[in-house]
Amino acid sequence: MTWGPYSTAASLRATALALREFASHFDGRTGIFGDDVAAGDRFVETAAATWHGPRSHDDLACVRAYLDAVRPMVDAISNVATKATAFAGDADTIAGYLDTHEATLADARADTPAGESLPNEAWLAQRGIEDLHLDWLAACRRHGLLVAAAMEPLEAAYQAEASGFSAPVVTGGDYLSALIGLAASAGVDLERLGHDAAAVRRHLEHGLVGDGHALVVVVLSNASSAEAVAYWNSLTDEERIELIETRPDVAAKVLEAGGMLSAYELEQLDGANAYPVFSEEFMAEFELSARLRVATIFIGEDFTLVAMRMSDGTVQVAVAKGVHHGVGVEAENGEGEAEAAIGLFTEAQQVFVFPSEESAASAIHALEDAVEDVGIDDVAIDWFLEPLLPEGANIVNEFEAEINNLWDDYGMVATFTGGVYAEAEVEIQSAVEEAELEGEVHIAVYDTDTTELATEPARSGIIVAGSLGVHGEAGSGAGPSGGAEGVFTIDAYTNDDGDEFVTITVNGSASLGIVGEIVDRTALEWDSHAEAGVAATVEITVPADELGVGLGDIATSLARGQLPSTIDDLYDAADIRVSVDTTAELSTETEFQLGTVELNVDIARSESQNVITLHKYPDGEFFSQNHVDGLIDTELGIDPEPEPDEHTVEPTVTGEEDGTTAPSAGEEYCAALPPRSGLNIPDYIYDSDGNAIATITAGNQCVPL
Amino acid sequence: MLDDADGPPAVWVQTDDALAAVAEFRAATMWHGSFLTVPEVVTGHDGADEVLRRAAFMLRELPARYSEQMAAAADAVTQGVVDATVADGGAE
Repeated sequence: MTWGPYSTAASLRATALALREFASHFDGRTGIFGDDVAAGDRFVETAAATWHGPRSHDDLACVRAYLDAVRPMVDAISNVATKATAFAGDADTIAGYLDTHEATLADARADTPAGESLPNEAWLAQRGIEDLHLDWLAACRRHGLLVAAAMEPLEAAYQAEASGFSAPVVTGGDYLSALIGLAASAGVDLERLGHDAAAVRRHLEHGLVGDGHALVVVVLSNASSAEAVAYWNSLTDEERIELIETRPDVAAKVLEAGGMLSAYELEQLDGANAYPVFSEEFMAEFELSARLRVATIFIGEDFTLVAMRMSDGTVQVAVAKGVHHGVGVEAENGEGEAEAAIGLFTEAQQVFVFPSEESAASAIHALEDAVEDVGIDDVAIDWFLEPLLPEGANIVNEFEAEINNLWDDYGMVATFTGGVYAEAEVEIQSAVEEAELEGEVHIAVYDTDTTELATEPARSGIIVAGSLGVHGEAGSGAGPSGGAEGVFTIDAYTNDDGDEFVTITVNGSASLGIVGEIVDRTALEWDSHAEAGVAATVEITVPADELGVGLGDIATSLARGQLPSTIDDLYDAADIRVSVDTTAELSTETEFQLGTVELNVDIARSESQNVITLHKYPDGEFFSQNHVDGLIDTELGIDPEPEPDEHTVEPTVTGEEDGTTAPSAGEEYCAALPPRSGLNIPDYIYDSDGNAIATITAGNQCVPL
Repeated sequence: MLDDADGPPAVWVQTDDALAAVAEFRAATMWHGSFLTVPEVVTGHDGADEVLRRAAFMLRELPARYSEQMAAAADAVTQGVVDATVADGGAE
C-alpha cells in the first residue's frame, strides 16, 4: 500500500496549523471589510446630510443599495473562517489518534527481532492508521462542502460584480445602471446651473467602463427625454458625430425629445439614417445583353446601367459588364421550351455617386450617346470579337473612355466578382398565354475597392445567391401579365478592418401588369411590359464568430431536443433591416435571332417607393428609418408631402424691346410636348449643346429651366 | 447655501463636509483592497484543496474589487456635488 504524504500525524498537524492561519486571515478581513462598509455608511450619512438636490436622493440610494449588497459578504467571510477552524480541529483530532497508532507501531518494530512477525497490536495499529487515513479523506470531503456552502454569498457577490461591469444590464437595476442614471441626471442639475456639464460628465464616467462611446449609447438609450437632451448637450462635437454615424436611431431619440442638432449634425444624421443604401426611387435602368449560342455552348456578355435616386438627394449609377461561359441543354416542342445551363461568370461593376439628378442625368445621356454612336450591333460584335481585333481597334473605346472620365470625378465602388452559376428556365406557351419558371444559383468570390465617396468600407468575401421566379403573360398581342420572385443571398465577408461578418438577405416580390408583344418567329421578338408590384426584404448581418458559436449551439441543442440558448445572443448581436417597397416598371425587350447569334436589347425604366424600413442595430431595438427621416424633415422645415406646385420652377425669360418675352428653349419644348401619361419618371431634357433646358418632375410635369 | 424660494432647493451643498466625507471614505477603502496574502493549505484531498484555493482567491479579490468600486461611486457622487457647488459660485 502506498501511503500519502498527508497521512502522518506530523503532516496533519501542519495542515491544521495552516487551516488556523487561513481562518485567521479571514477573521481579520472580516473586521477590515466591515470597516469598509462602516466607512461607506458614514459617507452616505454625511453626504445625505450635506447634499440635497434633484438627483441626490437617487444617487445616494445607489450607494446605499451597493452597501446593502456588500453587507452579507462580511458575515460570509466570517463564516468561512469558522468552517476552516472546525476543519483544523478535526485535523488535530485525527492527528492525535495517529500519534498513538504510530507510536505503537514504532515500538513493536523496535522490539521485534529481524525476520520475526510483528505482534498483533502492531497489525491493529497499522489497520487503525489506514482507517484514520480514510477518516481524514472523509473529513476533507465534508469540510470542503461546508466551506463551499459558506462561500456561496461570496460567489454571488463575485458574479454580480463581474457581470455588472463586463456586461452592463441597465434594466436589472444593478450598481452600474445606478451610476449610469447618475451620469445622465447629472446633466440635468448642471445644465440648470449653467455649468460646464461636459467636464463633469467626463469625470463621472471616468473609469466606469472602458469604452466611453458604449456608455454614451447605453445612457441615451435608457435616459428619459429630459435626461437625454441634457446628456446630449454635455457631449463633445466628436462624441455627437460618432453617435450619429454609428447609432442614428439613438441620436434621433434626442431629436424627438426636443434636443437641438446643428445643421451639420442634421445633415450627418440624414446621411447616417440612410446608410448604407436607402433608395426611394429606382430611377432608370438601361440594359443591353447579347448571347452567342452554338449548339449547347453558351457564350454571353451583358452590360447593365442602373441609376438610383437616394434619399439624401444624390443619385447612384451602377455600370456593370458581365461575362458568362457555360454549357447547357435545351428542349423545345410546340407547347414550350426548357433550358438549363451551368458555367463560369465574371462581373466587373463600377458605382458612381452624383450630387444631383441633373449631373447624373447628364452623365447617363453621355453614356447613351456613346452607345448610340457605336451602335448596338457594333457593341455586341466588339465584345465577342475583341480578343481577335488588333490593338486600338476596340469599337467601344468611346464608351469606356466616358466611363473612365466619370470614375475620376464620381467613382465610388469598383467590384470584381467571379464564380460559377447554374440556371434553369421553363417556358410554357399556348395560343393565348405564356408562362415562365426561372431559377438560378450563383457561388462567387468578390473584391471591392472604394473611394472616399463610398458610404461603406471596402471588403472581400464569398457570396452564395439564388432566385426562383414565375411569370405569366398573354401569349401574343396585348393582355395581362404577372409574376412573383424569391431571392436569397448569403454573403460572408471581411471588411477593411479585418472584421468578419455574414449577411443573409431574403427578398420576395410580386407584380401585376399588362404586356404587349410582336413576334416574328424568324428573326425578331418584341415585348413591352408595364407592371406594378410590392417587394419585401429582410437583411440580417451578424459577426461571423457570433454566428459560428450560435449555429453550433443551435445544432447541439436541437440534437439534444433542447431549446438553443444562444438565439437571444444572436438576436442582440445582429443588425437587422426589414423593408417593404412598392415598384412600378415599364420595359421593352427585343430579341434578334441571327443564325447562331441571339441578341437581346432590354430597356427598362422603373420606380420604387419605400413604404417602410425598420432597422435594428446590434444591442438596439427596432426603429423606423422613415420616422427618423420624418423627424429630420420636420427639423429642417421640409414638408414631407409637398404640393406639386412646390416643385415648379419659374422659367427664366429674356425681356424683348417691345415688352414681350420670347419663349425659352425649355418653354418651347414643354409647350410642344403632348400630355404625358403612364409612369412618373423624373428626367432632364438637353439641347444640342448638352445644356439642360427642361425637367420632367416626379409629378409628371414638364418644367422649363 | 443655495435656496430656491419658489420651491424645493435645487442644490444645497456643504462642500467642506462633503469633501471630508469622501476623503475619509477613500482613506478607509483604498488600502484595504490593496494587499493581502492568504496561506495555501494542502490537505491531500483534491476537492477540499480546490475549495480552499477558491476561498483564498475570493478573499484576495472581492474586497479589492468592491473597495475600488465604492471609491469610484464616492468620487462620482462627490464630484457631482462639488462641481455643482463650484458652478453655483461656491455657495455654502
